[in-house]
Amino acid sequence: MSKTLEKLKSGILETFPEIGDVPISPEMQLGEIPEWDSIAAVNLQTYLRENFGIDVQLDFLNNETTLADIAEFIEKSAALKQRLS
Amino acid sequence: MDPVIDPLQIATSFQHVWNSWLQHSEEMKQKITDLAARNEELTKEVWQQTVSPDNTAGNNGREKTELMDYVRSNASIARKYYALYSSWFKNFVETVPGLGESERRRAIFWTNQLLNALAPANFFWSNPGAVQKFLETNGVSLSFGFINWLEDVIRGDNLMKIADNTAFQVGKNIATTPGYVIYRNELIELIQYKPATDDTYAVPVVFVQPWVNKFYIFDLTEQSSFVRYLINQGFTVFIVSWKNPTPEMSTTSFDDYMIKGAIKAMEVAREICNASPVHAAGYCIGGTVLAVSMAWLNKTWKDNTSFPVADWSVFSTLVDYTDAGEIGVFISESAIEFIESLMKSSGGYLDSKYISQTFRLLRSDSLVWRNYVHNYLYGGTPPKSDMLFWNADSTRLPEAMCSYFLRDLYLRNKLARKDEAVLGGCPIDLGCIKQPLFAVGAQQDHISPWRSAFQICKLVNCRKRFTLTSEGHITGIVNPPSEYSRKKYWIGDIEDNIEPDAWQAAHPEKRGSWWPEWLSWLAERSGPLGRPPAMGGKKYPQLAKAPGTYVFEE
Repeated sequence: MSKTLEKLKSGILETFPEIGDVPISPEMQLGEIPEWDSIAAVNLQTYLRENFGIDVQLDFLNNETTLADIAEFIEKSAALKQRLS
Repeated sequence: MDPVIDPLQIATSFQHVWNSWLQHSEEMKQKITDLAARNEELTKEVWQQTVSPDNTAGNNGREKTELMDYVRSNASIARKYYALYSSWFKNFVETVPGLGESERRRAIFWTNQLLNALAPANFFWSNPGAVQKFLETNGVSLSFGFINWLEDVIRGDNLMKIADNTAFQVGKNIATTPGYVIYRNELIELIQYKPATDDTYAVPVVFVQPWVNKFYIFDLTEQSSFVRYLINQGFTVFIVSWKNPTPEMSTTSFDDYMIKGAIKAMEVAREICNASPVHAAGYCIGGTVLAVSMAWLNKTWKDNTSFPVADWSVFSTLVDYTDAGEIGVFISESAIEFIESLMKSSGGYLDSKYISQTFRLLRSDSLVWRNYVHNYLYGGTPPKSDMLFWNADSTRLPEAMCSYFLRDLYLRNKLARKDEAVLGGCPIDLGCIKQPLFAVGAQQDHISPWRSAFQICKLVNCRKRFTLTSEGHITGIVNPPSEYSRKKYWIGDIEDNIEPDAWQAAHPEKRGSWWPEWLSWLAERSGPLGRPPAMGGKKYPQLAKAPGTYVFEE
């Protein structure tokens, strides 16, 4: 698992402690988080902004979005930022 | 139980569940026996794990690791028991024999509230994240949590913050689309936005916003602003910003919201745009008042000039309250009497804290307990979210309007029956509306369930197009297009008396935002592009810069 995914995994655990023993894998879809809804998406959006410095549009954080999708988005955004700086 | 002691029928609903089970004691015994068997099974499993050599804590000798291993192990056990008992208890309430549907729903709702409150993550020692933070910060996290709690108690609304209210300022980094207040009365400010294109369509869009929160949900940040999206595509946009009611407005009625609010806004916009009929659009209760305004205008319009509205759109709007979703739990004679007594004691309005509490209870896992853990157990700052900031910026409701809304619309469902509701001196018949309708429902909407929002299409006889979006009450409507969008929607005209699920099944799923579809629908009915109208005019001088003054009233 990449470093981004590892960090993302701990962020998911921190933001949604009710996730409990549900296994967190790269293929995990956000819809698998207990009580996942649009407010949960806002919470995750905020976590990503504060911890990875990226702005993710809410409609990207859908039921079917996997952790691998988010990690890929973070890594692409970081690479783009580096190229532009 | 006495409705005075239990106006929301919380204890009463549990009592009814218990009494119903007592009359089916054999089945109840079976359920309890099943629970005992599953409990025994789980205890064996947990015991085996606890004594397993792999689970021996502290094998590296470090105290913190030892403690964390112990906490994680206990939290895991707590979650297992919680899962067992909560699923059993939910099933016990859901399957209770002989209970009416509304009573069953009320019992399920309050059961879920209880179970959400008891989740292991809400307690320090069964939330490993909270203990970990405590150890990492040498206890500072819990001290910050205590300070957060103290601030909430001092503020006096008994709610933990859901958004960092220092991160946003209305008019500075939120609700910033340029425009002017060009009309003001005792109930509304009407904002006209500056055009963003050289030419604009002849027909303007008038948004009638809900008055439970502030108007700027359609003008959050630049990326998500519905207003900005429309002006960038050549539309002239007006929006209604409602006054936050004071005790002096206690007699302000639903009729006032219709005549001095929605209808007045359309009239002013029409005059500014050289008598062009407008596209009227209403969100949530703003859509309800728009629907009754359309019925009222169709019945009373005798002017020789053309009708003031070209077409109308409603987003997540109910006019048929047969199934009002989870909010129905708060709708009963005793609950309304209780709310009316609260309004009387407040001096003529329903305080915004009660409205916030109610809406947050509808999603207590997301809007209460997640904040409880984050703010108090982790000692964190609430999220910097524009949408949550808006959500927390709620308003009061005037007594007369609120009482009418709850009794005549929610409880007696008068709008669903021809001529039963009388507003502005006129019986309301939604069936007499002739102008085309574009209605939107949201699949995960818990405030205006989409199948109920669909019912408006059955009550009107005009041409109608319905869109179903895959999101919730807010995110389904504030739905900006983006290249990463994974949202879904279904769209199509409604010609027959079709049921919502059959309608959905008959239409293909599409990906992305529904906004472009609405824009095309509007554009077909918007006339030619031409010079933008003046910002206000002699009769309607610019009174203040957008977002105006009413939006700042606390």
